[in-house]
Amino acid sequence: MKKYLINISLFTIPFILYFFIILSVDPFNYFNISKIISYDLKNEISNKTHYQLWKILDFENNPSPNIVLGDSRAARLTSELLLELTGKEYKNLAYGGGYLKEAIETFWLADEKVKLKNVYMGVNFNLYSDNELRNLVQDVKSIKKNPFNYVFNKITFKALYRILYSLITNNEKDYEKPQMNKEDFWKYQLTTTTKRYYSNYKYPEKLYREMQNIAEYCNINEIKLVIFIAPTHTDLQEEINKYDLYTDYKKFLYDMISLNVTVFNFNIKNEFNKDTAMYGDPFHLYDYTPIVKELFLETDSLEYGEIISYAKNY
Amino acid sequence: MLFNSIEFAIFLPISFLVFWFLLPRKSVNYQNLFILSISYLFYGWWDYRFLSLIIISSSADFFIGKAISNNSKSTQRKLLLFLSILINLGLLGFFKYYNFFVDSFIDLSNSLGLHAHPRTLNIILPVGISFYTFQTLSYTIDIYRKRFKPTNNWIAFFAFVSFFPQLVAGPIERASNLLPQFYKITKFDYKVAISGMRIILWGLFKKIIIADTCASIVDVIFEHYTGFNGSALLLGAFFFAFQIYGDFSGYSDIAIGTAKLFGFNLNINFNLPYFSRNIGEFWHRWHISLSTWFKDYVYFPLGGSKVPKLKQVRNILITFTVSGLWHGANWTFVAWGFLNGLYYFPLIFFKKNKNLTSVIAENSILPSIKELFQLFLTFSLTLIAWIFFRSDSITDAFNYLRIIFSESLFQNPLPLLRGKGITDSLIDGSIAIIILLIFEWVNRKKDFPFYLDKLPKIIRWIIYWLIAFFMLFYFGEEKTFIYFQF
Repeated sequence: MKKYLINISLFTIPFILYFFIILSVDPFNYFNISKIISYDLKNEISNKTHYQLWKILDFENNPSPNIVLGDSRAARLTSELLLELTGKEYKNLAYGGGYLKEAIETFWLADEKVKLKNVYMGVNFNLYSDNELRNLVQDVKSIKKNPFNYVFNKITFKALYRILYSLITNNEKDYEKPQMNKEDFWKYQLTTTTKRYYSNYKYPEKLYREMQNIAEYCNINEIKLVIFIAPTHTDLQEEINKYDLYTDYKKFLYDMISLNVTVFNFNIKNEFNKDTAMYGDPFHLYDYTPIVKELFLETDSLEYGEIISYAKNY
Repeated sequence: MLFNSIEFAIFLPISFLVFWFLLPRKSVNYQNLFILSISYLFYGWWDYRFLSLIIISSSADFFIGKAISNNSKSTQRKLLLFLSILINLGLLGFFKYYNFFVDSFIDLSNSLGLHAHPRTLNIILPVGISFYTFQTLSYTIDIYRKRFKPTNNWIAFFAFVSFFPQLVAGPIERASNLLPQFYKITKFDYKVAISGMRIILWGLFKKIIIADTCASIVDVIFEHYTGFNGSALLLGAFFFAFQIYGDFSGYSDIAIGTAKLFGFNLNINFNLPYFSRNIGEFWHRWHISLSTWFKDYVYFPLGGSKVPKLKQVRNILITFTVSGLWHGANWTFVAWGFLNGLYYFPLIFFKKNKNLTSVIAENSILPSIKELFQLFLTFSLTLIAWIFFRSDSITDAFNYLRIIFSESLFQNPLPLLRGKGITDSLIDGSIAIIILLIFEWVNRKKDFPFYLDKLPKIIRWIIYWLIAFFMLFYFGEEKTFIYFQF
């Protein structure tokens, strides 16, 4: 029996050591005690390792009543940019490669934490599909439940590895950068990526109902909800016709209007969206400052987009 | 509480330490009372109200067993046995099948133009009821058949029925194997305890890394099967085959390993079923405790194979159909069972239904071409049957199969699987399945697949640590075991 207990105790040593390493490094600031690793390094690495986990835990540590939701396009409306242009603090809870289902779940998570005042939600047609069902926010909910789940999971381990690698080699890898030049990546986005989104498009009844729930909830609780359709290059806009989805796209716009909230549509055919120099790839602008100004500063005339629906309280 | 939960991770070591260090080792009754208490605590963790059912079942069969043994009159013995069957199957039938039969009756009435409106009830299925009722039933049946003597020690009997490692999802233990173990005080054996820990680790690997990873793929594919092509659906069925294997055999391993920690031996429940060369062999390797239960208490009483071929076919179909129904209150399970019964036809008519007891590729490293073909065919047949098992309805199952056996079977599944949040699981699940199959194949002649004794201690420990770490990394959301719904 003694030998058994000694062996079991010895067996647990690596796990205890690992726990203390995670406690010290705390890649996602779950414990938020140790300051051994700088916030900036974690923001650079852990954010890109798992956007959802990083941003939600960051929000829990520093909540704000003003949030931005959406995918990588909305993620470019950074907190720093919004503070600079609007003077207001916004927490950006949009995720690179994010899905609409994740944005919806994040809304409810944020609402549990703080009384929301202003919610800006980026919704684009390519994510408005019943085939785009990924939901990494579920991982976050599971991890948040208890410290054991946080310490012992592969996402935390991955971030730990990347942080330690960066510290040891003094070399920060860019985990996001595509391994292609702009031209090749442009073609890739217009062929492989759009094929994935559009070849199996399915109208999302469930997602629409969930959007309706959010809109109703915001109306009842006097939360200002603004939906914006981020701009894409006209090359990408035309892909919809190749897959015969024009009617579905119109239905998407109509659904957004039917929510009775303010809806900005920047995804229109204008000179700005035709200009390849403005875009890093067909989905993403280099600079979202003009979009932010029109979206957040309530200017009289719009140059880059149009308002297709007004909420009563806008 | 689930085996893969924090609560169990706390419950088990505390129970273990109390059992071996604090419990007086002078009387077997202290031991059994403790086992009984922690088993009831374990079971009551789900819902304390269901303890009443296990107490009813245990009490009834304890007294009926004694009464059968004390009675020499055949009619009265039969009546007592019938009472035991009525109580156990009555409990099972009510809690598990009442709503199913009512709904089926309503559907049938509507299809005939009659509009019946019997009430369905809001009945919660007590966890493990299918298992412990069969366990106690085998006790009374074996007493009736004079193959086993009843016990006068109610504490030992109640502990046998409720023994927590195997209470909620088997193995379904026969009294002749497990009950006598409660007549003596167990002794701590280092090798047995270490073996138990190893088996638990392997079981958790199968459950957490294989079954739960496959589950995330399978749930997406089966829920949205109309949006996928044949090749994606085939992948879905493949991963389900390993989900259910990892889930159920993982649970059995954890049960067997946990029992060993307390000095008890449970029977093996899975013996490399996916290395079977025909369906007969498969059913000697898959859920062995249940298939032998149905063989001994349904198939043999019907006449077994000692009857003309047509009757033998009838016996097989009845046995497997009832076995399917045991798995769940849905016609899909019945269809699954019936289909497995149909698979026996060639074996019966070509007289190939004798057990293949040898190990595959016994004298070689790899299987022969013939064995490979047999493996592939047997696995394919079980895969088709699993589709019925997993589908929500018979219609869904047929639609699922129709899509598989279409031109789209030859299309690339990956574009349709992207964007569903399962890409990582596809890779992780595939790697885990390969590791599982390698271990099982290499150690197919050993008692247990996770056999590393020939390796140096440090290498063994490194492997154990790696598996434990991976298992913890994949821990995530506690996913219940599939067989808990039975």
